[in-house]
Amino acid sequence: MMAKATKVSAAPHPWSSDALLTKAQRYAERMVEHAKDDWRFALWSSLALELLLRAALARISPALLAEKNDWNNIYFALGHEPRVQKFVPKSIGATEVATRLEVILTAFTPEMKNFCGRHLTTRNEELHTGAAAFQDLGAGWMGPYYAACEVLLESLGKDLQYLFGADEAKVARALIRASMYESA
Amino acid sequence: MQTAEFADCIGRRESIAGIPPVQALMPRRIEASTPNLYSGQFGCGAFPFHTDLAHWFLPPRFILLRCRRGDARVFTSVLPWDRAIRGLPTSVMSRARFRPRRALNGRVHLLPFAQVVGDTALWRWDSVFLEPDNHEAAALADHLMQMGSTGERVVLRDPGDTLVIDNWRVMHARSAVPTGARRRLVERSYLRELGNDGQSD
Repeated sequence: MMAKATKVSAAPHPWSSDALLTKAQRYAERMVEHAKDDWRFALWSSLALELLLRAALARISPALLAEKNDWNNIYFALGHEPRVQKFVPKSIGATEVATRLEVILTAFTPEMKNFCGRHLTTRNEELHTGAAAFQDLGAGWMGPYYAACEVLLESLGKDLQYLFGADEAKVARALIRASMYESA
Repeated sequence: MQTAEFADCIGRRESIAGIPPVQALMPRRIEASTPNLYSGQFGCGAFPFHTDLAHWFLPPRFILLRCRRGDARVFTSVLPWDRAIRGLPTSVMSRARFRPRRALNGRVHLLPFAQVVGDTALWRWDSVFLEPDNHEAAALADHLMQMGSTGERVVLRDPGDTLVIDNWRVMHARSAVPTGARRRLVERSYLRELGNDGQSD
């Protein structure tokens, strides 16, 4: 009997696709606990989206997440411990992650990349300013949101149900269809 | 033949910091053990079905248990995951997520119940050292805690009797140890793979 050798590991690499995706699922669960017109639904959606984007890029290699100005970030991404005192790994911004994915993933369209950029910009406004940026956002963003998520999840071998649960996945697919009809 | 030598004959041993390559397992009373061990939780009572090191991101693949001093009254039960999860909705199994009961090196990491590893997969469960992190994991935990199946019983009775468990695909448990059987001694070694050329690191 032959079995593929995999060494034990107490903890996942924090930039690993598995770790990022599992945490995205946790955030997505918080998201769907809220009504769709609740600002917290949108906030959690943006937090889940960033992790999902990063998980999709990390699936190719966590090194693609490393901030390039310090080579120690790449060294860290490759699973090593940099010998720098009080080293704090730095990764690229989420918008850059989306830009790279647009090139790498054929199904991740420029429209999806642009939507992700806008949604994450609104998230930053919500988190870093006094504006209630996710208040009264309307419903128009949800179809493009789920469409982007579906493509990212497919690149990870997962589906909408994995991230959002069976009930929300049904709603998500209907919203995707509706948004495609509107944009046609 | 020593257990380490035997392990090297059938596979490739794991090298895990802080865990000896061969561990001697003897029944211990709760007060004689520590809470981070099953004997510190259950003493000489029955150990429930579990995955070894389930709270690790990648638990060891294979467990080798080898008898040094056996007792016919004590047995190990093994239960393949496909039997343990029979009847559960696939959504529960694909979405269930746990977290370790305690932080490891100051960090808590989330653990999917079902995890793809290369071209295979692992399933994990431990009622002591894992906590459900979502509804699906809570439902799964309820199912496993109330599970009626007792699995297949294996008695390591004579010195050299050996059981190899695929820790990713099969849960195991230990029966209660009666007073007269507390000198039972089993050695354990974790293996990364089976059927290799016997190299260890």
